[in-house]
Amino acid sequence: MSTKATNILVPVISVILGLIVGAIIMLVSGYNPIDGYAALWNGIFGDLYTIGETIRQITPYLLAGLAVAFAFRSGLFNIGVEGQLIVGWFAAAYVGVAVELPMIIHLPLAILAAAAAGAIWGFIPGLLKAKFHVHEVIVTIMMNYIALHTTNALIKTVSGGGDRTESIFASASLRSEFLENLTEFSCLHFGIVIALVMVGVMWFILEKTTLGFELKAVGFNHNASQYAGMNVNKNIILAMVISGAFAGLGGAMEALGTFEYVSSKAGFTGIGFDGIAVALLGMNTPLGVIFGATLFGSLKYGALNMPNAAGIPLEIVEIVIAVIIFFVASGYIIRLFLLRAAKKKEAK
Amino acid sequence: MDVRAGEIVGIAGIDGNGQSELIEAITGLRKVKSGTISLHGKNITGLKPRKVTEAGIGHIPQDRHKHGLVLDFPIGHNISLQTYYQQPISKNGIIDYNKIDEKAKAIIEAYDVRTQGPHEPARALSGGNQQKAIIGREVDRNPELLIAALPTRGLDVGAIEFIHSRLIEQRDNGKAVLLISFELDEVMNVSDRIAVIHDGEIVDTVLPEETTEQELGLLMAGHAVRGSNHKEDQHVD
Amino acid sequence: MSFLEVLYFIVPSAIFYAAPLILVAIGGVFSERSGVINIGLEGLMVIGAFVGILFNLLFADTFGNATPWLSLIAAMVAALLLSLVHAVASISFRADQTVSGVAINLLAIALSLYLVKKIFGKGQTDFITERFTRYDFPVLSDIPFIGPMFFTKIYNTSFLAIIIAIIAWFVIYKTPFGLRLRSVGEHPMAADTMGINVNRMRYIAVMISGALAGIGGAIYAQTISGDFGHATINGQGFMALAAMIFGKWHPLGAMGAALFFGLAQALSIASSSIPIIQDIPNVFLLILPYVLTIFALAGFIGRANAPKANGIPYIKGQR
Repeated sequence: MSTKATNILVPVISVILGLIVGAIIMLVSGYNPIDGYAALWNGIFGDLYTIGETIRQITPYLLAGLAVAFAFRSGLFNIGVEGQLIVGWFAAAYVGVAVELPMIIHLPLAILAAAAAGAIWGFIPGLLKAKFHVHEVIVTIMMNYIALHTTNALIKTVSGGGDRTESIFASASLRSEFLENLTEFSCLHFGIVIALVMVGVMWFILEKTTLGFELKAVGFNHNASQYAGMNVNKNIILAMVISGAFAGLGGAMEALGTFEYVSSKAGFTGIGFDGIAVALLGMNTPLGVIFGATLFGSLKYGALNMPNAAGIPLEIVEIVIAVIIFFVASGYIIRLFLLRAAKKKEAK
Repeated sequence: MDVRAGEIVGIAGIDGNGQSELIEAITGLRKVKSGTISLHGKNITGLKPRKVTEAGIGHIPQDRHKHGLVLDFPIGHNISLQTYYQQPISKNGIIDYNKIDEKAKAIIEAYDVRTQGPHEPARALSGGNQQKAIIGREVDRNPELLIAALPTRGLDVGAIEFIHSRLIEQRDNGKAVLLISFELDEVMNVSDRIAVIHDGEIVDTVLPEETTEQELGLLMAGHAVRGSNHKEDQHVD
Repeated sequence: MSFLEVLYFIVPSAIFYAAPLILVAIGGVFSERSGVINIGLEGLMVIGAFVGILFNLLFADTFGNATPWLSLIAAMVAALLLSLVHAVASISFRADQTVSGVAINLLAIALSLYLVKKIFGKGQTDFITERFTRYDFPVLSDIPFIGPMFFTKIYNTSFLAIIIAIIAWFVIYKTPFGLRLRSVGEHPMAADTMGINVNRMRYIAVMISGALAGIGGAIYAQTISGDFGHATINGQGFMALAAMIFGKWHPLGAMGAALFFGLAQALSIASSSIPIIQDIPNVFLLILPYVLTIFALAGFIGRANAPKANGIPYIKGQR
C-alpha cells in the first residue's frame, strides 16, 4: 500500500473507530446508539436552518485548525490557539463597540485588530522559543490562562463592571441577510468566506512563497536551515505570529459574526483545543483542515440535538472526538496494522 | 593560514582538535572570537551564513544528516537549499517549484545521483547518493572556496573516487578547495599542501611529496618537527 | 485586620489551596522524570474529582466519617486506569505525548459530564454531606505564632500532601527505583543497556502520576468545591503542571511552588479584605502563577531544564 493511501486511511479509520467507541458507550449506558446517531445526523443536516448553523459552527474551527496546522508545519506545537482566539475575540468586539465608522473601514479594522491581538499572543511564546529555547507548549498553555483572566478583567473595565460588552455596531458586523435568508434565518455569516480565503492563504504561503519554503525547512531541521543561511529564530517567531493571527481571526468570527459581543468566561471555549484535533485529522494540510473542521464542527453542532431528540447527553460527541484524537495520534499502530493486513493479502 | 586559488589545502588532524570550529567560524555558524577571515582580500569575518555563501564559499558539511540535508524534504528541494530565494527560482518572494525541479534534474544527471527523481525524500537515498547531491549543489554554485569536511566518510570506493575527482576538477578550474579529513591517505593523495591542526592551532604546513604519514602523525599528536609558523589570519587569494 | 491576623488567615488558606496542587504536581514529577510528558494531569484530576464526589455521595450513608478517605482511594483507582490510556498511547503506540495528553483532558471532562448527566439528570452533582473537616491540632496549635499559622483549622489532607512530597523526594533521590526512574528519563538507551526495562518503568511512572492526580482531584472536590460540575477543576491541573516546572521537576521544589501558587490563589480570593493587596487589581494575582512559570522557563529565576528524554518514545535499537 502506498504511503499516500495509508496517510488518508489513518484519519478515516480513526473516525470510524471513534464512532464505534461512542456507540459502545451509549449502548453500555443504556441508550440506543442508532437513535443517538440519527439525532446527531438530523442535528447536522436536518433542514436548511441546521445546515446554516453547522456551517457557522465550522467557521471558527477552520481558523483554529489552520492556526495549529500552520505552527505544526513549522515544527511548533501551538496549544495556545485557545488563548490567541480569546484575545482576538475581545479585540474585535472592543473595536466593534468602541467606535462607529463607515463599514468599509470599521469591519476590516475590527478583523485586523483580532488578527493583531492573536499575533501578539503568539509572538511572546515565539520570541521565548527563539531567544531562550523555552518549549512553546508550556508557554502557550500559560498564555491561555493569562488570556482568559486578562480579557475577563478587561471586559469588566470596558462594560463598567458588567459581564459582557454592548453589542457591536452594525458597521463592524459580519452578518449577512443573504446567507440568513438562504438558510431559513440561521446565524450563518460572512465569516465562512473569510475562513475559506484563509485556507487559501495558508496554502499559498506554504506552497508558493520562499517564506513557506523556509518555514517548512526550519520545521524539519534547525541545523540544516541555519547551515543553508536561513534565520531560524526569525522563522520561529514568524510562524507563531502567523499562527496566532489565524487564531485571532477565529475569535473575530465569534465577536463579529456569531455573538456580536464578548462576555466574560468561566472557562475556555474549547475551540482552540479542538483545533488540535482538526489539524491532526487534516494531517496539517490546508485541504485536510477543511475536512477536519467540517467533521468536528458538524459533530459539535449536531450534538446539540441529541439531548432533545434522543435524550442522550451531548458530551457523548466530545468523547467521540477525544477518542478520534487518540487514534490519529497513535497512527503508528494503525499503520502497522494496515501493513500487516496488506502483507497477508500478498501472501494469499 | 591561507588557501590559494587553484590549490587544494588539506587539514590533517585528530578528531576534536578544532577542525569543526574552524569550519564553523569560516562559514558563519560560529562567532569568531579573534582573528580575521578574508576572501579575495574582502573581510568576511563574522558574516551570517547566508552572506558567507553569497560571498562565494561552498561547504560540504561533515554531518550530512544534521547540517547537509533536510531529510524530510524532497531531494530536489535540498538541491536548492541555499538558492531557493534567488532568481530564477524565486521572484518577489514567490517560489517557482518547476525551476527547483529543473535544477534538481540537471544536478541529478550531472552528478550521477541515483534516485527516483527530484520528489523522492532525501531520507530515502543512500549515503553516497545523498553526498553526491550535496556536492553537486555546492559545486554547481561555482564557489571561489569549497570547504569539504569529511566528504567521503562512510562511503564506498566508487563514491569516494567520484568525489575526489570532483574536488580535483574544482581545483583545476582555478578555485580554492579546503579539505578536512581524518583519513591520512586521503589528505596525502588529494591535497597540494597540508596544514596540520593540533589543539586548535595550525602547527605546521607541509607539502605531501616532502612528508610521510609517520611525520604527519607526529605533528598531529603535537610533536613539533620543524619550527611552527602558524598565522592566525587566513585568506584566499 | 492587623498584619498577624492577616498572616493567620492567609497561611492556612494558602496551604489549603496548595494541597491538591502538591499531589498533582508530584504526580507530574514522576511521569516526566521517566520521560513521559503528562499534559493530561488536568484530565486525571477531573476524573479524580468526579469519582471522589460520586463515591462520596453513593456511600456516605454506609461509611459515615470514613467516606472522604475511601473516596480518595476510589478516585485514585479511577485516575490510575485513565492514566493507563495515556501510557498505552504514548509508550506503546508511540503517539505524540502532548497530543495524547490533550485527548486525556478532553476525554476526562466529557466522560465525567456524560456520566453526571446520566446519573443525576443535570449538569452538576449534588453537594456532598461527608466532607473533610478542619480541626485544631492538639498541643501544637497552642504554640504561639506557629500554632495559629500552621496547626489551627487544618485539614489532614494537607498533611497527607506534604508527607507524600517528602516520600516522593526520598523515592526519587534515595532509592534504586528512583535512580532507574531518572535514568530512563535522561538516557533511556543507557538505561536499557544496564538491563532496565524502559517501557515498564515508564508505565509505572505514568500510573503513579495518575494515582496522585486522582487523589489530588478528589481532595480538591471534597475540600474546596463540595460538588462536581464542568468548572470544578478548571485549570488546577495545568496550575499543577506549572508548579512542577517552577519547582524544576523536583518533588520538594514542586511542593514549594505549589504552596506559592496556593498563596496566590488565597490572596486573589481574600484580597478585598487585606490592606495593600486590596489595591492590586485581582487579575494580577490570578495570572501571577502563570507569568512566574514563564519567567522560570525563560531562565529569569534560575534555569529550569526538563529531563533530557522527556517526550520521546523509546524505540529499541534506534539511536
